Amino acid sequence: MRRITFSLIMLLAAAMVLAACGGSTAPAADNSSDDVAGAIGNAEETPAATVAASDSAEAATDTTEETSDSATGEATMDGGVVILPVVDPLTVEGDVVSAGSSTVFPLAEAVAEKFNSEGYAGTITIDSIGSGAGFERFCVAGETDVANASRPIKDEEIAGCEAIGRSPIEFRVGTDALAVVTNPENDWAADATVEELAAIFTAEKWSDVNADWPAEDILRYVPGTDSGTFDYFVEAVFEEDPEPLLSAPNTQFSEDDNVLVIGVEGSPYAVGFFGYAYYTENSGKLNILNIGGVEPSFESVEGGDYALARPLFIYSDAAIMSEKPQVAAYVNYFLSNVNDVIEEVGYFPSSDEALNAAKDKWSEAVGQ
Amino acid sequence: MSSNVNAKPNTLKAESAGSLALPRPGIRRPSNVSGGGSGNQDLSKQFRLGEAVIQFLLMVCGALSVLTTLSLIFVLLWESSKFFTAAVQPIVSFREFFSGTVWQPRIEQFGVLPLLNATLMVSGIAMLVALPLGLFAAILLSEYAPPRLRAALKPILEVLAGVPTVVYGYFALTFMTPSIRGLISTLSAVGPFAVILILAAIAALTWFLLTTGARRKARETADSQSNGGALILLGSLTGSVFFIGLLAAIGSLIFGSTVQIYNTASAGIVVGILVIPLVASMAEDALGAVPVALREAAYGLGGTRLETTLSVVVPSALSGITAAFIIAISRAIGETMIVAIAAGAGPKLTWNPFDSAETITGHINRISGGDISYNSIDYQSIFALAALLFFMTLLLNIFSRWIMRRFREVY
Repeated sequence: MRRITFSLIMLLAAAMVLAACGGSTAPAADNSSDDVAGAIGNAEETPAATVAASDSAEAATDTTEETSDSATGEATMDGGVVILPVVDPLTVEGDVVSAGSSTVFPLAEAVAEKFNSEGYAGTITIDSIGSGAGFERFCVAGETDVANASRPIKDEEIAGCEAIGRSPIEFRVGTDALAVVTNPENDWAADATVEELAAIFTAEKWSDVNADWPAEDILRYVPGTDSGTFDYFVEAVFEEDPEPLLSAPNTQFSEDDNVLVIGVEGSPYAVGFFGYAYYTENSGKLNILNIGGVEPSFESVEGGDYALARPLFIYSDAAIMSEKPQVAAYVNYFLSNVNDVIEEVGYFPSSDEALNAAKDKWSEAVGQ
Repeated sequence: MSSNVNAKPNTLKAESAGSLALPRPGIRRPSNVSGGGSGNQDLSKQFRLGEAVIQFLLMVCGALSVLTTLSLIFVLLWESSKFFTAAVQPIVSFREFFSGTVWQPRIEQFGVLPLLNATLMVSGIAMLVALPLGLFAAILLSEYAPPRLRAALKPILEVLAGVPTVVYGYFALTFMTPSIRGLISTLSAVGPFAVILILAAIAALTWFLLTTGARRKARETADSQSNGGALILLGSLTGSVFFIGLLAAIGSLIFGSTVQIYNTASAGIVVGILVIPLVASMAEDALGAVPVALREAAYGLGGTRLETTLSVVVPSALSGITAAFIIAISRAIGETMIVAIAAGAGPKLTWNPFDSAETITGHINRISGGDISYNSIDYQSIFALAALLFFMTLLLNIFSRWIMRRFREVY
């Protein structure tokens, strides 16, 4: 009796496992056949759609041919956005080596992941070593194909590049901004200059920053020391010296942004900062400070008016891109797809103009 | 696919047949022995493969846990020795480590006191909660509870022990902290004089309920209408309210009325709740080990149940109860998730339980979560902290064993 029940249970379990396996594959097949049927149905009803569909199919085959012979193709305009020839990751061969800013790193990683998931079989190396070190490896050692940077290249770095026969091309890929936030009950601080920020993040009481503000302890919630956000804040507000911020009283550090949000929510005398993306998720619970009278927004961040924002770039070189078609394909793919992933990573997308300019530079470099 | 489904039961049958075949040698053996007729001596000398395999497996299991402990100690000592020697810059001396009052590895400040202080504070508050509640629960379970109540209470206590500590962490952050804030702000709004009056009133009410309850309980056999038990229960409840109010009042008088969102008080209280089952079950074992003869002797001398419990049973079991407390302290010191979520994330040397501070475990948890690089002083500092924690709990465990041995009453 027991054995019968046992084998029944096992049978049931096996059946369920098989059903689960079947479940994941079979419906997918169903869907695709449905889609085909739907497409055919649509085609019969609306001839225009079939034309468009076959057009795009043709375009797709065209571009695969083009990318297979080293990605030379015409860029097209569509609604004010430059469309570069579509990269087919399946046909791209060879590895790409890049290094540079730790801020660009998560963005580059997200793009590379997408590139790989769409079929690119090579390896994209992304070293997170800082913008300066990235230029060093690109311009002096000449080891990398792409340099990631969270600041524009300096003149002496360009000179270094030219000394080894490289002329760096700048591609703007996005913008990073920090949000300085306070509790909604905080009605005294709505605006701060960078100097005031330095005071707010070091002083003991609010009244020490401004005599009109309450004589209460400032409770600080700061991203952990291992984060790029911490480094950037220290760079922008404390001139790269972390000591004042680290030795400030009543300061909590956490790599977990949620801990910071809960902390700032928890007291009217709290203040904190983190990536702007995280503020937008919690905008109802927090106040955001204007920096020097400028409210962080797409425009102010793009134009460079907001003090706690910095552009994100990748750099490459025309000769490298024509020698190594995979680098041209990677940069093309980066520029064409960056806006699909950038908000997920937590940065501001660049304006259409900046992105168009970057794409034009790519076309020019590859067309040479 | 369908053929697969059919194939499954077949293989199953084969397997079960195979597993049935296994015990056969075992069954054969006794008949062998009785056939030989040479008795026990032969049985012990005979080499039995199954027995040897099982013995070997058991030995491996035992050795594995010992090996794990040894390798753990080795890694801790090895990595933390790098912290105190010149392997990585800068060198941190023992003196700096144990006397510095700032812990901030990024700017080369390595004073463990703020972390140690927070750890001891959380454990201290936890023991304030777990000591009385755990001991009372143990006394109730071992001395007072009728079998049916005991059967209902025991599983509930065990459920308390099985709650994941992450859940406790968020319980502390989203329930305990707001409760403490509410209590403290109400107390400070009412004012110290009114608080004293209210507390005195509650104390008087408790006293009244408990004494009348006990008096009625004593008459229970004569008067079936009496509800002394209910009065005692009510009295205990108001008594708890009195103690919570008293603690909160003293706390707000000493430390002020601002409670941070992350604070050691709520983390400590919840860690206390976490270790109550541990204290209760170990203390109950100790109380249960006291011979019934001792209780009967006390009753024979005219002692009530309370007198018997407090002056005979508890003192006899004191060594076991103390050991339970010490084990609970070492558990509280090592607790990580609750303090990581609720106690705060910045090292701070403070005595204020309403202030946020980071414990050793919380700091290790936070730092190891970031992308910290190997062979950096930050990385080694984690091992130094872990070694410190290890020695603290090791010492406490050794101490509790010593107390068990030294003060155990042998009957």
